[in-house]
Amino acid sequence: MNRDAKRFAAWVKTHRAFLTRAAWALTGDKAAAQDLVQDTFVLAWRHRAALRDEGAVQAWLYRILRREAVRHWEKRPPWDEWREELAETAACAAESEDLRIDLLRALQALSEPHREILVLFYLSDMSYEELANSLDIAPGTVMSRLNRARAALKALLGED
Amino acid sequence: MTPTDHEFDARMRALLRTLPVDGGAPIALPRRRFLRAAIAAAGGALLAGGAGGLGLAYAATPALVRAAAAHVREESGLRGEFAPLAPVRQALGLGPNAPFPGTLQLCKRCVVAGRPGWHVSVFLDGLGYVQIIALRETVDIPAGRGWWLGEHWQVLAQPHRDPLILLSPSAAALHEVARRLQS
Repeated sequence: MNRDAKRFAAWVKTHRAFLTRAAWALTGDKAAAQDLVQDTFVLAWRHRAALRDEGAVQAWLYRILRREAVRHWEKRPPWDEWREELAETAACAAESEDLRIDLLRALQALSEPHREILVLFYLSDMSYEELANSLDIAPGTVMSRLNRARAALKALLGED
Repeated sequence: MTPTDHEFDARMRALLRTLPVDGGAPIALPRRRFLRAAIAAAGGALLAGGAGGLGLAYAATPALVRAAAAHVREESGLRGEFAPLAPVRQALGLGPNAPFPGTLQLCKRCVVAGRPGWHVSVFLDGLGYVQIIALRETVDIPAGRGWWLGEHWQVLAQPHRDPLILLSPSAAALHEVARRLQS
């Protein structure tokens, strides 16, 4: 295995779980999340030369995932249909999974900027500056958007 | 940020970070995919008996069919009804009470190359499995058939109906399901 392939294998090993959970939380659909992650890694391999700072690989992979997720979102059917599917999922889920199902459902009901910042905030260990960079927003916007997103999520979960 | 926010964040973080992520299929490097595709195309060409067919299997297989093949491969072990059958029957062009074109193995929503659809798998006694991807939007994919990485495929594109992509390792099973869907 050459150097690039080894580097790529390390990315997959280290970041697959993070990306899959982020994609799942963004789309509300595990199968779609797996497709998105697959596409993300394929694109990452194709454009690996563009990554200059190996220490920023998680943010770089997330930006690729985000672009792919936006494309997925544009193609996504209206929310009502997905609510039906989530309800079915919830019905099949074990009781211990209820909280997680509620959270996934609530995330889907948030606006896209709110959903995105919460997913990245909860799933990654990025600093506010790295969050701003990953989301293409000003560093000063991160905290205010995070506060508004958290409040919206709390309201949806009945914890406000 | 209040202590309540910290506690809330901790709970949400724990819930999201424990979303069950299975190993999944290993990510194949594109170069290896290409190599496999080239080998498969060469094999297909040899089987077809025409050297001129070398590479045609890759070139002639629409990207959406290739994406569908990759998708059904990922869900190859999955069985069950995860979606209401009525809209799926409608997407397949079947009447409300019409039987599926084989014993139903899997029925679930899916997304193929960013396009929403249904993944339906049916089994035909003595012939084998056929995977059907019923797309839920009109796409620019012509009717056709071919062979790709060990799978026979057929696109059923009909007016006033979203296209269906059929995949099966068995040409006979594929032909039979296509016949039943078009009858």
